[in-house]
Amino acid sequence: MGHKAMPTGSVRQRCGRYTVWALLLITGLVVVVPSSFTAQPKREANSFAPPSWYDRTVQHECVLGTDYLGRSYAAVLGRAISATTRVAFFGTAAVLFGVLAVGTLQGSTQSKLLGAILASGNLGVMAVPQVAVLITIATSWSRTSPAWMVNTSMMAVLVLFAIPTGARLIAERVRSVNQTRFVAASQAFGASWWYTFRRDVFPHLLEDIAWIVASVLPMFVAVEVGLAYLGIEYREFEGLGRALAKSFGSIFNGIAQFQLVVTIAVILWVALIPQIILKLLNVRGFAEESV
Amino acid sequence: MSDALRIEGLSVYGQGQYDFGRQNADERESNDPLSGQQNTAASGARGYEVISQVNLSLRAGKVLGLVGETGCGKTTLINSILGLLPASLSVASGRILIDPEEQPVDLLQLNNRQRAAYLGLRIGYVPQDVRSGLNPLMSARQTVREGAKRKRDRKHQRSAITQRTDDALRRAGLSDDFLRSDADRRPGRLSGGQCQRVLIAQAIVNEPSVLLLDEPTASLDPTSRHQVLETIRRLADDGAAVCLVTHDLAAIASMVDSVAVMYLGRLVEIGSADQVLRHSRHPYTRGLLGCVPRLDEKRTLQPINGEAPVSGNGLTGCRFYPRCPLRQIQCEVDEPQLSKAQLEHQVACHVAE
Repeated sequence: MGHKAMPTGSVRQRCGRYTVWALLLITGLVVVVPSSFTAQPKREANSFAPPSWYDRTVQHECVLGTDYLGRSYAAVLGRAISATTRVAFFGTAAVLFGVLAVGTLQGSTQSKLLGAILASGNLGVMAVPQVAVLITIATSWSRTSPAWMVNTSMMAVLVLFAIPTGARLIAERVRSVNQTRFVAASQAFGASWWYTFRRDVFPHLLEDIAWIVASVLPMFVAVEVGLAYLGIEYREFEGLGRALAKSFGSIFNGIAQFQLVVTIAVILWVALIPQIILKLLNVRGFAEESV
Repeated sequence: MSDALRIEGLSVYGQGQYDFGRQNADERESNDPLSGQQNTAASGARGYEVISQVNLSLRAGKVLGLVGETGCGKTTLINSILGLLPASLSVASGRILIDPEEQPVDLLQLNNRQRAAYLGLRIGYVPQDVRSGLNPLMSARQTVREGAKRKRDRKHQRSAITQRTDDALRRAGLSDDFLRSDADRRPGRLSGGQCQRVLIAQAIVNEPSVLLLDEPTASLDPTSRHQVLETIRRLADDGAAVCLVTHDLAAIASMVDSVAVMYLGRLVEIGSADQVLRHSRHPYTRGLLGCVPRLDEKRTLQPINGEAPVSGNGLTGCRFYPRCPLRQIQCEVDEPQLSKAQLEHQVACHVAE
């Protein structure tokens, strides 16, 4: 009598994949919807109003109450998530691009010059506190400087600080995959460099890419929140940091305390999305077959 | 049968000095004019010698066994044909002609793009080491299919590629059951013999005229080894010129047509399988055969004395001289060439002559 294979593994895998898609959908909606469909809460209010459950402008109670300017806190938070996530996604994409470009170049060419630059960059990143550089840059711009210049310079610092570590990781992986016999077999089949990279090397980088995304994206969220909380923020930018700072500003109000807890939970959720996805995809198990 | 690939006077050198503390090639040439006779094309300044003046022909429908100890240059010879030499090695001289009798093309004169037109299409290659030869993230079918995609023309549509993929897997000795149930599995879930045949299928999917197999039976159990060798024999019978690199003399004895023996980057004996394996004349070949265990004969195995040096640099005369049980004074100073007296069975040895 034959045994029927236990479907547990595949069911779990399928559930994980569905959850990943659901999470990505929710995250995508959170990023897009506040700009497209939700009424944009104005930053300016006619008068200061302490946080309350009742929204006077729409004449009904709000789920998360109103903020210090009388705006629906749910809308404020939605917009903050959208803004912070966009910055984090954009920054992570920039880091990933830089890491892949530099890492692949170094891994393929084994350039001593590039290796030395990366190594010294890595040491520099460890030696110089990132936050100190960011504070210096943010405060060195004159008040009349355009907001995009200030924000771009801060993003550039974050990206540059993140590249050396990730690039060394990618370079090492590219080098080791390039030395495998299946890459030699590919080349013996007349495969071009691009083909070999796309079909043989890149799939083995996914684990490292996932690790880089999972560590860089929370860094962008944390830096935005931390700097905004300290009052050094991206200019004209209402992100989660400002929401946290403002709800912390009214800490003695019961509604503000509730909003603070919700904001912290949302920050953790946004920062931990990549780790949750990684866990659900079981990337470690996937990578066990990698070289 | 015509030659499908011909190697003429191939020499490969490595950068720097591999054998520290010995004379380098420059010094050897200046000190010992005799040993420099064979290597006039290769400048000593190139570094240490890996392959020297190799001449070989691969004939359509025949299997050539290339044998020798580990490190003698067998894989380097294959990599030279494929243009896969590491940056530290370079071809110093020689020609590698494909279709030498009809439209000879010297592979060494081609750039990577031009050579790619031959690789995978005219020359199939099975790498050393079954497990690491396959991409662990690709299924068996996907691996062969990627090879099949190399042959592009309007006739080769999606269905045709699938058809060729399955045909190649069958020709490599994999059953229909495998195609139904296991072909979409990754290599980690296949046996060593199955992996080896997937590699062979990848190499033959475009029906190349030359097939290079680098130790295809290493790490296989006797049954799988026998099946893989049978598959290789069948491919040769279908018309492919096969070069089988191995150090397993016992395994290939019954299925190769000719055998070339390499020692320290040089061919020391070449002839038909019967001549080399049963009537060997070079002491090195005899030494190799003396290490092969036999079930029908109870005897003590007699390994060759000493170890092969990493490079022939600094050695004057016969390279096998320090380990040779039959060495004479002449062997120390005069490097033997492959004898031309018997074209079918050539030996580079003063004593054998």
